[in-house]
Amino acid sequence: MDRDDPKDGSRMEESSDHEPWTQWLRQHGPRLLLLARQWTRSAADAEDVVQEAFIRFWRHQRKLPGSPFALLVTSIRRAAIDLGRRESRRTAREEAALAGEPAEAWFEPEMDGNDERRAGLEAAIRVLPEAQREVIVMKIWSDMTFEEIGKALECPANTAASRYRYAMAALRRELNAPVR
Amino acid sequence: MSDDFTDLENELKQLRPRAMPAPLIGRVAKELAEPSRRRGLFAEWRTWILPAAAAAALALTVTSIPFMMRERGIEAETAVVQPAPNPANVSAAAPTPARLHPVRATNVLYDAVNEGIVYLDEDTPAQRMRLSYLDTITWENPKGGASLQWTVPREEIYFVPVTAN
Repeated sequence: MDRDDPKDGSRMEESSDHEPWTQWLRQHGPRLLLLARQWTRSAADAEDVVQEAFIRFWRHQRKLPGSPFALLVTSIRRAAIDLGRRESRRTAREEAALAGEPAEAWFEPEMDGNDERRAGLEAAIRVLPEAQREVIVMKIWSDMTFEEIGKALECPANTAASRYRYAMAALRRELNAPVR
Repeated sequence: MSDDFTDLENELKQLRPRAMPAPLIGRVAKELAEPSRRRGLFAEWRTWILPAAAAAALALTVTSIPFMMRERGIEAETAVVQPAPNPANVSAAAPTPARLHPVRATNVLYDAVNEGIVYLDEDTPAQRMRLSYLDTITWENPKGGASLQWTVPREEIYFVPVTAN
């Protein structure tokens, strides 16, 4: 994978000290946004929790020891859970309006004309149960180990690994299923 | 079914998560450019929380030591220093119990442990410090020279805010 390791604390430290925060956010933000989307009901909510977590991180937590990416993942998850609690009293009408909105793409469109395959993969990911989907997103696009995923999700690493295997098997089944 | 998902993993890794929307970058920039929204007394809590905690601990110590001394002094009078009645002289007036006076109070810090990072109000990181003391209070009877020493362990827990700068 030709991208910087998002978990590299020293690189983050260097980046925060000598480069503008925008560069770091543009580089790692898409993965954070994709993660946030797994725990929120809309793209707008995902953006809100990423914004909240990043501001808090940049102001108060960026000098803390450990992986900044893992810290942000935990922070985003917590913010998403808090937002979910606050919004749990949303009216049925608002929920229906939200459900009727066209689904925004989670991934960039493919430029090589293979966008149909991209759409198929994305659709297959979307129908996974949340517990499996979040593990896949953390493992594939955030390069997190099962131990790190377990810590972030507050579950044993073995559980995270099992969910990942179930999710991959379900994805494969979904992609190989005849077109309905 | 095979558990080798390498091909599928590689295919998934080709997907690039959606880029950061420009308005989101703009909102973050705007918020970072503003001073923290937490204002007033709470915003400055880092500057006063430690002195306040120290002052509270000192006040508690100063007010509680005389109370503890008085309590212990009474016990000493009745349990330790009270002379036994003399059967041959039962009609004589009861002897006055010796009075113990506090003469010394010391405390020794013998251990300090950094218990790691905790979060105050869910988003403010702080280090939890556990300090272990031995408090020793000494009473003496200025007439007879009797003394009583009381040593008790005590722990204090401090939360030291971790600041970004």
